[in-house]
Amino acid sequence: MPFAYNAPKLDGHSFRCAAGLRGLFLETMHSDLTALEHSIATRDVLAAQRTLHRMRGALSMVKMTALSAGLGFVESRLGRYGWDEQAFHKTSGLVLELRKFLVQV
Amino acid sequence: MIPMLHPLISQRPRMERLRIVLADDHPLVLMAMRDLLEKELSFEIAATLASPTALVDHLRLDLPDVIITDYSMPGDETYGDGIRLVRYLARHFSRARIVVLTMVSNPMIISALYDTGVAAVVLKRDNLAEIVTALQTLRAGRTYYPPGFQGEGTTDSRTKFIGERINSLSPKEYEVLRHFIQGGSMMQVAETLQRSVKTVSGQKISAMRKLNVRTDQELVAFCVESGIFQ
Repeated sequence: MPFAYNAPKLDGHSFRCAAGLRGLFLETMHSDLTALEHSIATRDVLAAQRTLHRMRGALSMVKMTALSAGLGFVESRLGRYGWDEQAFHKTSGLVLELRKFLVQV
Repeated sequence: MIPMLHPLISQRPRMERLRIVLADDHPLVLMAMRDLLEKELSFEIAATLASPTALVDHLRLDLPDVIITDYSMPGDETYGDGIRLVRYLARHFSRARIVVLTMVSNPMIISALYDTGVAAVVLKRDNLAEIVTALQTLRAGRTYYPPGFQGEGTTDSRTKFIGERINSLSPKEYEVLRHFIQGGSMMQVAETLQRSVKTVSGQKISAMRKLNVRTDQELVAFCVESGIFQ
């Protein structure tokens, strides 16, 4: 497998992974984002926590630590307070940020 | 004519390859791990599995030297995930060494995993190459601890730490947790304790802060591992 795909810094996020993983990263991240948007729409805390956890694992694999930490904050807040206003706005913001990022990768 | 081997090759001691089974419910993690480990000649990936059931079914047929499993693989009703799955693996496949790969960084849960018998816990937030270090540590016959985690004296310090946390709970918080862990919804807990849902929810949140757990899953794992209600 060709070693690394280094996207330029996009919106302040660096992205690094083996070249063969890029397609799988994009595919799974799009799928997870769709699942997360559904969880936001239905205010499903458990499903959102599972998807956020899964996305954090994927982002850690490509060294996107800032976004991973952002998702971790939301996952933690959901566990404590459910879908309060802050969790809703933060999650919606992260979804938009990730969608924008994925278009550029 | 018999071809001559390079002297360095002919003198190189033969090392058994470590047979490894990987389990993670995220295909990206599985592929990244496989990609990394296959670069090492001393490792052989025997299988990659995407669920606890697939993992256990495979282990019954072909036991590897090392099982690398994700901590969180929700949705498997047969074997569960987290501590429950790891405990099952340790009990039924004790000849294989267990490595847990996780996003969870709570020291109490990491300690609980070591108490269950795992040989290494690798944090996904760390450099992925840590998994290679962990496997080399296991090959040398030692236990691997993640960077920054105090392995030595873990049990004593953990017991003290857990005791302090539990003692900091108020009697009302303790009762809320006890009913919640038994499977009650917050509404049922409120009815049982004759308090409002808002009150018991607040007490549960306060207890979680004191116990330093972030999610319900971590809370349940903590309560099970600490034996707080046994």
